[in-house]
Amino acid sequence: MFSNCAVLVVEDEPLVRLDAMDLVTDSGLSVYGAPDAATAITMLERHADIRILLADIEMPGAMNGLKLAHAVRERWPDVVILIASGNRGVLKGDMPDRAVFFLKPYAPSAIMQCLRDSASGTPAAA
Amino acid sequence: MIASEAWQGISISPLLAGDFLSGGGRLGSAIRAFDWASTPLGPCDAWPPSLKSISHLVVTSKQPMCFWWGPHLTKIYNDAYVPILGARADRALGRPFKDVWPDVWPDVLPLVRRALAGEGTWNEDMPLLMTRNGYSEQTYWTFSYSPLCDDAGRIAGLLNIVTETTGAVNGRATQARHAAASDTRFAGAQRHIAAQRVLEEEQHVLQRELSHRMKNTLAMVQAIVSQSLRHAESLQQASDTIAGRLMVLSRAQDILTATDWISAEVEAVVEHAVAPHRDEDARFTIAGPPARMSARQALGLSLAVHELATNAAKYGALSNDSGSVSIGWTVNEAKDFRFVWHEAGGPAVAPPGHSGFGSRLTQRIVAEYFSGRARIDYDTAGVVFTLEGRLAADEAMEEAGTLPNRAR
Repeated sequence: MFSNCAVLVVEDEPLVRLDAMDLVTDSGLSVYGAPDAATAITMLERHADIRILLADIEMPGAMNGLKLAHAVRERWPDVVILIASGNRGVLKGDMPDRAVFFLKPYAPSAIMQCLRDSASGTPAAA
Repeated sequence: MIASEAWQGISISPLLAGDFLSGGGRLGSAIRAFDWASTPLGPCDAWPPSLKSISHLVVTSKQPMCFWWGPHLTKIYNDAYVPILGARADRALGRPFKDVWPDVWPDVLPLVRRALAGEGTWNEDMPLLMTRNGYSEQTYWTFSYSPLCDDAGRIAGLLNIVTETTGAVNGRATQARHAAASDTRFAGAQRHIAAQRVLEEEQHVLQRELSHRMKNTLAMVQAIVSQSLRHAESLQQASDTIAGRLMVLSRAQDILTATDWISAEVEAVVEHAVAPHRDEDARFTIAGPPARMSARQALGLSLAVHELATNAAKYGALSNDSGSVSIGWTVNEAKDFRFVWHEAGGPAVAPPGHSGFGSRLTQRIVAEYFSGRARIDYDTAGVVFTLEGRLAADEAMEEAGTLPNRAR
């Protein structure tokens, strides 16, 4: 349904990532997974079909999900950015333009809807 | 009147008539390029002399400074102030105070109002919890607010001269802690206050860690529930599998609570995970050297062992009276870890028809926790599960050196 459109899920907890990746597959999209920001950047370089980034904010390493999101906005301006966090304190101003925020735990249907809208080019509701 | 010698040889041109932002560094150029017409301040060439003058003062200063001006308290700052903004640095210029600092606005509003009413303020090491980098940070600030007047002498904004003292405060707290630790009789009011501050800070750190772990646990629970439902044949079955998986997670948490969430003994993790399946002592042989794994690895291995035991109870060595399971592991100096689950004496086993959550957990997921490989062999004599990877120290353990203190 959405050929040539893949989602990159960035999440350090393997179990949580697996489940998020299943959600993406259920939405009819291809999926890649990365445990940290550095791996995510490498995957974006390698796989041009990645059009949507779904990243958790809290991650180990030098770059958290927010910094990753800003780096992706800079280098791959067309990639749709979805950010998830259990932290309520994340501000719209801290995220790149046009990024969509999901408070964890999120409703699977809300993520799936947003993924489908993003994949079909409909602007996601902020 | 004769001018001070400090003025000698300095040529004075009417700065405000020319470029009042010259010599203003990166922010000087950014202010020049900014679309001020979209703010209540209007185009910057048409600014009143008072506003040009204060802008010039701020952008040419090497001291972190900013000011807010006009009905929306529109923000202007200098190069030295940029690090204070953290991740907000590229979205702060020309924005209202409240939009740039919504997280601390309620804390500083009374001070802002005092300055706007004409009274300057000064605070030393004021604690502010801010999320400028996307996560909560305990920060400390020494700063003043001073009223600023427009051309008519009416207060039109406020000037903020500020130094972030987070590093200094944390450094003092660490020193105080060392002093307190080396002197059991520590007396004197000053030391008492320092100790009090250390305690408060520890409390903050612990609360943050606790909240972080709670969120992680809830995320894992959500994934376990979702995966269990996904692969269930009926609601009753889903309910039972979810209960079993959450119970083993809960038992693993008990071990971790006992050790400050830093690490867990391999043997304790295995014992706790198989305990619900241990109907008689001869069922399990558990043998391996003392070794510790990270909190995350403990949760991952617990879930994997639980899946193996549940399957063994249904189809394998724990499904009849004569079967047994031998669990063993080895660890070398490089922390390479090899863990084997070996079933014997059960009915002849065949590989399962479909690959459910249990098999993804025991193969893909647990391998990732240990940065290694895992596989299940459905040998007719009994299931053999092998995990090869590396024992890790939890990130909490690495942080322990930098945190003010940890609960013991």
